[in-house]
Formats: sequence, structure tokens, C-alpha cells
Amino acid sequence: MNTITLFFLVSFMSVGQNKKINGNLSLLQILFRHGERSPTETYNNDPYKNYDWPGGLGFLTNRGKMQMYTLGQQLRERYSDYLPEYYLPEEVLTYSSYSDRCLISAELLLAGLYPPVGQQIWNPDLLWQPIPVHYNPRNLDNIIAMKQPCKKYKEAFNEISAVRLNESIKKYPDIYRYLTEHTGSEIKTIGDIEFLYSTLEIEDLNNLTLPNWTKRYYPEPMKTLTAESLALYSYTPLLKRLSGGVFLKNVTDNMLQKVENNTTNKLILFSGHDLTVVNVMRSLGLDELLKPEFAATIIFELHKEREVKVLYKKNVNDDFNEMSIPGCQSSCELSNLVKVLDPVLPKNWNEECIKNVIV
Amino acid sequence: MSRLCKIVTLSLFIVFSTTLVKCETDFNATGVSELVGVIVIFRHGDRTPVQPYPNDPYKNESLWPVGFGQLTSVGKRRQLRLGQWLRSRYDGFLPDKYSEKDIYVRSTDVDRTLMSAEANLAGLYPPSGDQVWDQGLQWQPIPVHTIPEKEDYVLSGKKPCVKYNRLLRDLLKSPDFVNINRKNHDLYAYLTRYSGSLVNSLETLESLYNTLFIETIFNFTLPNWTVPVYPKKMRPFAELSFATLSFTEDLARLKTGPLITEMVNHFKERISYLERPEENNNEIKNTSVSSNGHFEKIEQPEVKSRKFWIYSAHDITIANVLQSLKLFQYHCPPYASTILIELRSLKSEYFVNIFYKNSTVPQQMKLKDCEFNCPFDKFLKIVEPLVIDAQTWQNECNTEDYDFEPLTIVVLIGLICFIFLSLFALKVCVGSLTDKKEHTKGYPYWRLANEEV
Repeated sequence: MNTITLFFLVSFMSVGQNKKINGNLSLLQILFRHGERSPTETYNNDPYKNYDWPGGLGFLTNRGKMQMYTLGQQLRERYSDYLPEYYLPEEVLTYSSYSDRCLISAELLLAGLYPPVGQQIWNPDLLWQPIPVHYNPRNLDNIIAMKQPCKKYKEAFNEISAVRLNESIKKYPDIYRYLTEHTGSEIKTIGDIEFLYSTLEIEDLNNLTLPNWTKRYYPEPMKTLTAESLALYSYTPLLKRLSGGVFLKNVTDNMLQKVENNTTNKLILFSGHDLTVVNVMRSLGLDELLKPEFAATIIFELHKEREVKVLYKKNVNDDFNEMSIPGCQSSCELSNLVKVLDPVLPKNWNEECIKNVIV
Repeated sequence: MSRLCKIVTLSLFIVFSTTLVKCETDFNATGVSELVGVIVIFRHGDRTPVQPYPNDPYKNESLWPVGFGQLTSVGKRRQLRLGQWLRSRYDGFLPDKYSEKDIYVRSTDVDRTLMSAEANLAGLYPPSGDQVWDQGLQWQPIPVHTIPEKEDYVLSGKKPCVKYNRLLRDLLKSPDFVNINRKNHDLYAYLTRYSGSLVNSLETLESLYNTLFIETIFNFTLPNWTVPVYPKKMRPFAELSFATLSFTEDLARLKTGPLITEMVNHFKERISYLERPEENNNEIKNTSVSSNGHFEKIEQPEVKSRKFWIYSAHDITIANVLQSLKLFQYHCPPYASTILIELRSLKSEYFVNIFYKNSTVPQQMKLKDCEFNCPFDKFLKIVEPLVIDAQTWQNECNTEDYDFEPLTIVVLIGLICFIFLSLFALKVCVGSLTDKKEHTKGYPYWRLANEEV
């Protein structure tokens, strides 16, 4: 197993980046992972432990900033017939995870999507305009960061993590000992491997030569284990229901509201993490292992005939690819989608976090 | 002629203000005292009315450049300029390059304040050096932190607090305020009649005053009925209304105390950082791979080296802070009005300086019982009655409702029954009552209209 095989990507219908979407849309909801960042942490023996990342640890790199800005421009191009050039606060809602890199990713995407034109040019020397980005504190966010404490979720996660950890030990008997020894940090769970992989990947992307010992497990199988680590958070139907399901509940509720009482919203943006993308993908029934790249994007289009289209864009160089949702393959109608997703849509998240719910 | 006059005044003003700023930097440069921390609280830039009144000839939203309550282009420019002004005042103290280790920006969760913060930061941190990420755009993204209003007891003060509401009601029922409302009875009735919205308090009067004020800024001709009352007759009451929310120490402690407490803690942490830098130096670099997955992973470690804090908020925030510190002179805080609280150090002593900038030049504000260079310890004593931690705030705000003894409850139930009975009795004769009201309605307004204003 050399690479993560994204079989479902093969089934994508390429829609093409330049093709414009005309006025048939009635609501657009977009979830994206932030742009390229510097490492959030290092390991004890990291030769780049004291590397001076511009902007500090965990912040967007300049390339990451450009990715988000470009994504905004690509969305402007694709949806120019649907989204007015003027930014109107009653049409656009932007939610972000609490973390700085997500907040500024949202600002950058909006800068690319809504460069001021005409009367909205408030400063001729600066073709940018301020647009508000809202967010919930980390411990109150069960939609994007998905970090709001939830007892049942944590229990189910711990259970499956232990099982999958043993599987990984069977498969790679030496990996934990080897990585612990060479990093000087304790690497004893799949999650530890994920964080280590993220750090190595970013250093690699920024042309920092990785130590020789990494070659044995990097990039593979560490990359696959990283995808596995991300998958743990929505491994079972219950885990889906209490994580990505909350997001999908929000998204489908927004669509139902739009259909019912025609709210003024045209665009709702969600600025999140790789984990958000994976939780949402898996909750949609797209269970293949996935390690989302920077600026990976999931788009939910609601069309006037209540048809829902879900698209995925791996990175800024990728096209907008339509995905087929299991159980709602061709011309997926909103009510059908809600029916298909029903098992993963929580009725009362707070309650389900405490009580046993049969899924 | 008048244009020449304007230019001369303006240039004089600029010369004057730059000298003043220079003086302060010189004061800094001579080593007399060193600036070590700054807290900035500003009101958002120019906006449209939050809510037009029912009879407002300009209530059609399409007459306005942006929707109601939104920041206008003028407002964006005003904030950009304020950011540039902050840059010129604190250049050298605040590095050119943005770093989360220097500064933290917090806004209320309202479009105009979030946008004001962003526009301000565009002026404060134009990208330079390796922070230029796009050659064509003199802007870089900077995080603006916020919290939903219903959770925000620190900056917006919108998190519900039963005890505070009760205290405020008590204040408004106190003889002084009842007297003001009684004296204003005719004015309120006049405003209610012509505006079409109920004006029966300082708060509702201020809201109408504010809408009229914005309409004059937009060069909208106000209806004739406003002539006898706006601005002169209304203004003092609009101004007074800003003092009410933190009028007493009890009110101030619950409304503004959490913000004062946060600011005090910023300065305390700053001082301890300066005194023991070695303990705090390797804060972030040592975060190694965590083993608890995404759950306990603290993605943003606490930063202890910060020295600059910006709060983007509202006119009432400005008024509340000034009033709590007993520095409020009754007025309506203008757009982008700014409070600067500076921490200085001299021979390991710390001092607090407070400035208020509601025009071009920041004015020095002298706390009661303290000199302008107020020693930090003395400052702490002065604000001590306002300091309240999160838990205490929550407890006090929550417990209010359950603070009754059994006897009180019996009395209360009796009272409620009595009220119901009275209401019922009232309903019987309600027809005749309203008739009477209709008859007397017109008279007082005539009197008011004829009065000298």
C-alpha cells in the first residue's frame, strides 16, 4: 500500500474549473481546510526545532495565504453569475474555527472572492475590504472545530482507538518503538504518528531536509496511518453522528430553511481543519481513507429544483469535482439526501452526548 | 475665504498634534520612563442608523449606502487612519511585522466592530519584508478574536445577568431618575407622537437622537418637527444616557468589571513577564507531540509575551469604561473614539497613563486620587472595587433569582394575585380610560412646541 487510494475520486465527474455556474443556484455552502501552515509542534530531536517560521508555529505561510486568496478567486470565477460582485452582509455568512490560521484563511478567501468594486471601493490604494468572520470558542464549537466536550463521543473514540492501535501494531510491529527512539518523543498512538507526520510533511514541503531515519516510515506508511488517525474520529455510525453529523445537520437545515422561507443567505462559509473535512466526508458515507491537503474544499450546492450537488476540490490546483453520495447518486434531491443522512444527523446533540442512543 | 480659514486651522492643528505626539515620544526616548504595555479600546467607525424610527422619511434602507447598522466607507477609512495613527504613536514599541506574540485583538461579535478591527489593522500592520504575500495588495490578514454576544460578558456585556438588570431597574426607579423622566414627560410625549416610536426613557431618547444625528451627517434634511427639539433639547439627555449603564459602583462592577479585570490581568502578566523573562522564554518551542489526539491538544499555547491589546467595541463600551473609572464627562462617544491605557516602567516601578482621544489629540485623563503617572499599585487599589473574576461574576448573576426566603415567596405570591386582580379590575374600565387618554393627548405638545428652544 504505497499511496492512499482515493477510489471515490475516480468516480468524480469533472466539472471543470472555468465553467461558470449560472443562476440556477439558491444556496451555496462551502467548507474548506485552511491554507499551508507551519508546524504546530515539533519533536524533541527535531533538527528544525528552533527554525524561525515566519509568523510563528501553526500560522499560515505566505504560500498558504496565497492558496486561500486563490481559492477565493476561483470561487468568484465559478460562481460569478450567482454571487453579486458587491459584498452584502445579509447574503454572506462566514464561520470559522477558533484557531488563528482558520480565521485568517477565511479573511484571505473573502479577499479573493470579494475584491471591492464600484462604490465598495473605500480606499483606491487598497483593493480589499473588511468582511466579518464569526466563530465560537473552542469548547462551544461542535460544528467546525468539533471540540465541544461530548462524553459518549469520547468514550466511543477511546474504544475504537484502542482496537485500531492494536491492528496497527500487528501490521507494523516496530514502528512505535522506532519512532519513539529516533524522535526522542513518545510515539505510542496512531494520533502521535499523525502529528509527527504533519510536522515532517510541512518541513518537507518547505525544503527542509528530513533526517535519514525518517526514510524507513516516511512518507509511507505514516501517511496512511495519518489518514487512519483522522478517520478514527468518525469511524463508527455513532462517532459520525456526534461529529460530522452535526455539521451536516447544520448544512441540511440551512438548505431546508432556504427552501421553506427563502432566507436572504446566498453563501455560507466554514473555515476548518483537515479533521473537519474528514469527519464531514465520512459522515456523508464517503469512507475511503483521506488525508486532506491544504485548502481542500467541500461544496454543497442547493439548486432551484431542490437538487443538491456536493463537490470536492483536493487543493487549489484541482478542479471542482462532483461527488456521488452513497444512496443519493444521480440528481440527489434535498428530501432524499436528508433521508439518506438521517442515521448520522443528531436530533439532540447535547442529550446524545450523555445518553445511550441506538444508531 | 472660509476654505483658506479651514486650511490654516487644519494645518495648525496638524502641527500642534504632531508636536504633542513628538513630545510624548521624546519623553520616552530620554529614558525617563519606558513604555511596556498598551491597551487600546475604540468605538467602531461611521455606520448607518441601527434602526430608523417608524415615521422616519429615510427608513427605506435603499436610501443608505449600506444596510442598517453597517460600517460605511467613511467608517472604514476612519478606522484605517486610526490604525495608521496608532502605528505612528507606537512605532518602535510595536514591531513592524505582525506577530501573535506581540498583540491580541478582540472585537464584539457585530459586523461593524469586526470590520472596524480589520480596517484598523490594515492601517497598523501594512505588510513588510517577508510578510508581503501578494505584491499587488498592501494588506495582510490578521486574526480578530470574538465570542458570540450571548456568551460575552467581558466586552459587549450582552451575556444575561439577572442581578445587573435588577440593579439597573432600581437605579432608573430612584428619585433622581424618576425626576428626570417626569420633567421630560412632555418631551417624551412629543417625540413619541412625531417619531412613531415609544420614547419613555433616556435610552429610547438616545436611540432616536442617534438616528437623527446620523441623518444630519448624511445631509438628510430632518423633518420640521425635529427643529424645536433636535439637537439642543435632546442632547443632554442622550449624553446622560451613556452614564447610566455603569452609573453606580455595583452596576459598573457587573457591566464593566470583567473588562477592567481582564485589562488589569494583562498588565500584571506583562509585569511578571518583564521581571522573569527566562521562565517564559521557551514557552512554545517545547511543545512536543501530544499523545491525546485532537482532544486535549492545545493548538494555541498561551502567549505570555504580549504587550499590545486592542478591543473593538461600541460607544457604550467607551462610556462604560470611562464612567467606571470615574472619568466620564457626559457626552456621546464619537466614531473611532479611543481610550489608551499605557503601562510604563521606570527603575522597576510601573505606572499607568490613561488617554482619551475623541478628536485629533489624545487628552490625558487623571484618575481621582492619583496623579497622571499613576503608580501601578495605586491604580490597582483604585480599580479594586470593580475587579471581578469569571466565577464570581457568573455566581452573582445567576443566584439573584433564587435569593428569596420562604416568607418572601409567600409575600410574592400574594403580590402576584393582587396584581392579577387589579389588572382584571382595570380591564373592566379600560374603555373609558383610553378615551380619556385620547382627549388629553394633544395639549402638552402645543406647549412644548411654543417653548423657546
